[in-house]
Amino acid sequence: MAGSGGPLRFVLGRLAGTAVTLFGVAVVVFVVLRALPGDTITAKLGTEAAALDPDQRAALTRYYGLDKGPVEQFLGWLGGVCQGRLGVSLDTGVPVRTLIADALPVTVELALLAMLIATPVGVALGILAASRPGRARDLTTQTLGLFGLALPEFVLASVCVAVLATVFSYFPDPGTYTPLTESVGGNLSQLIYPALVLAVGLAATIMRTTRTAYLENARSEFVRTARGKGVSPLRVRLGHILRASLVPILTMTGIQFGYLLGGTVIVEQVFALPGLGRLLLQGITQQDYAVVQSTTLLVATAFVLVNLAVDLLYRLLDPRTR
Amino acid sequence: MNGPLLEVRDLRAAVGDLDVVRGISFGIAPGETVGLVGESGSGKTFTALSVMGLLPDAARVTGGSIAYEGRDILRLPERERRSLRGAGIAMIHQEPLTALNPLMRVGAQIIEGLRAHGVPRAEARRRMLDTLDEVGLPTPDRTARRYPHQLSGGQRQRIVIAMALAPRPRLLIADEPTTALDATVQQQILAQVDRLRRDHDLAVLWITHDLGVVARLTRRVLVMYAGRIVEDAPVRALYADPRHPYSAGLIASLPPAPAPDGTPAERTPLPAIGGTPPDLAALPPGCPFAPRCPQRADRCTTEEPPLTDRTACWVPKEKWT
Repeated sequence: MAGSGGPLRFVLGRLAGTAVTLFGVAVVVFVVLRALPGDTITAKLGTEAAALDPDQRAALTRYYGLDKGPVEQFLGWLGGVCQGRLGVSLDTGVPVRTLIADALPVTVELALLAMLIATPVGVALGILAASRPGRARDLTTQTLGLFGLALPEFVLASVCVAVLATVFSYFPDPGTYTPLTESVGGNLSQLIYPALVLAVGLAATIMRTTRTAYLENARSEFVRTARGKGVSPLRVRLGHILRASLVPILTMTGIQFGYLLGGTVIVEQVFALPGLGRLLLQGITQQDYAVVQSTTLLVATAFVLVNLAVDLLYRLLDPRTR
Repeated sequence: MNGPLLEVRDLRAAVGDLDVVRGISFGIAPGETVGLVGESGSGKTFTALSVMGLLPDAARVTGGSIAYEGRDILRLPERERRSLRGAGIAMIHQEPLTALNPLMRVGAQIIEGLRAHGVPRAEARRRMLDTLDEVGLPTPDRTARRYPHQLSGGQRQRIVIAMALAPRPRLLIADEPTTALDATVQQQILAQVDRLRRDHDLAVLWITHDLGVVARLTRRVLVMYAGRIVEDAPVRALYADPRHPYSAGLIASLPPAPAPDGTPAERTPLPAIGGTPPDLAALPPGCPFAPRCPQRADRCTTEEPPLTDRTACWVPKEKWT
């Protein structure tokens, strides 16, 4: 049934749109960074920057490449990115590509782990709430969900760290981060708590989406038809109501995952995990232009690609969109 | 079996505090076709959903009994009740697009109904294809792989009918199955269902507000008004000699039939029933039709007439003005 809107054409069309979006992101990040007061030199030297004489300052400006005009800087960086060169950290001199290669797996793993915990919990609670709307279990689940949504991540993360430190004598330490390839157990013991913290809000969001979609589909006529055929209640719930609810649940999950890739800044900071969020935060405080620009662009790309993947899955789940 | 296939006695159903079915009784014999007519809100669909056990969450049966093959299905455990649903009594709904699951291939939806009643997979598939052929869908194996949105309105309704008939029920409840379709498709579908009814010795309860459909397809008519049956009569008798003023009003509002040679009848304004449909939340004491009734007597506004000998009316036809 691949008509004029076949999947390949769909993907190509979307990728073209993506390129425009990403260019916009690049411009905005570049401008915003330059609009911040100070520059790499003041960030690096702090108050001592004031003691530089004009010659020293000019030399440093040239050294960091800040003497070029903004358009030249932007095009130089973007041109490099297009060829796979993400620039060099002005702060540490390490290539940004290396920094990202180290940080990306941490964030992706954290996001996946949080999703893996939040999705089944959220879907299960959503069904639980929707199966008896307005009754005790619905109200309990809904209240818990509101708490989950209302509780800021930094509070939950800080409380979690405090409890871990006082009760379990566990102190997060960025120096001792264990990659998954080194020790699965050691890695998971470091990632499970931040993943749980992230999962709370996610599960609440997924729960609410599931509840709404499930309730709406449970009332639909095709569910009445299925019951009228004598189909068992379990099959009606899973095969018809939940199946039809998967489309909105998947959309919500995909969007949340996209956010997670760029939005674990606080949790990574509190748990001292060397992920993209922390890299980005350090880059901003050091006004490390190449690091911030390239990391942001990467996160934006990932976000867009995740959304594209969701749309492709969507087409798979709902024949009407093919 | 000699007794009625379905025997409804003093059935009552309510949505919240609102009584929507207020004590109705009727029977359907095996192979019989019965029409259930009345305006929207008269309780036709709630009657059907009560029989199916598919009332929406807010509604429930509040009294009476529904016997299928002699057993009161309201007292059956849910599991046994479910085994009747689809296999004993099947229902087709008004809107075929929303009645079908948009995410499932139509063939799979028919097979699902057969599998629910223990038909083995291979046989279910064979019967699905046979039934698609029976309801007049060409190339069954291609049609079976379609999704509902890929079919026309008429094809979808044929799928819905195939889905209802594949498990070979003995009673089919057809709730205005053609209202959403074009006039020509309507006629084809009605004729198709009627043919299948004869082939399978199926009893059919036609729910409709279209008296023309009733005249063509049924032997007996139940006229519902405000949650009660006000007249229960053979279809010919009802047309020739309606005994309830509401039935008389319905028949008077039908366009006259064309003459036998085909020339259309003279165009005259059709009389309509005056007044507005009743508000179930604020029914008057006495007969609910009394406020709109041209034959109203004093007793009609104080005491609700029971259904006796065809009609629920205090004023005998001889005294009508």
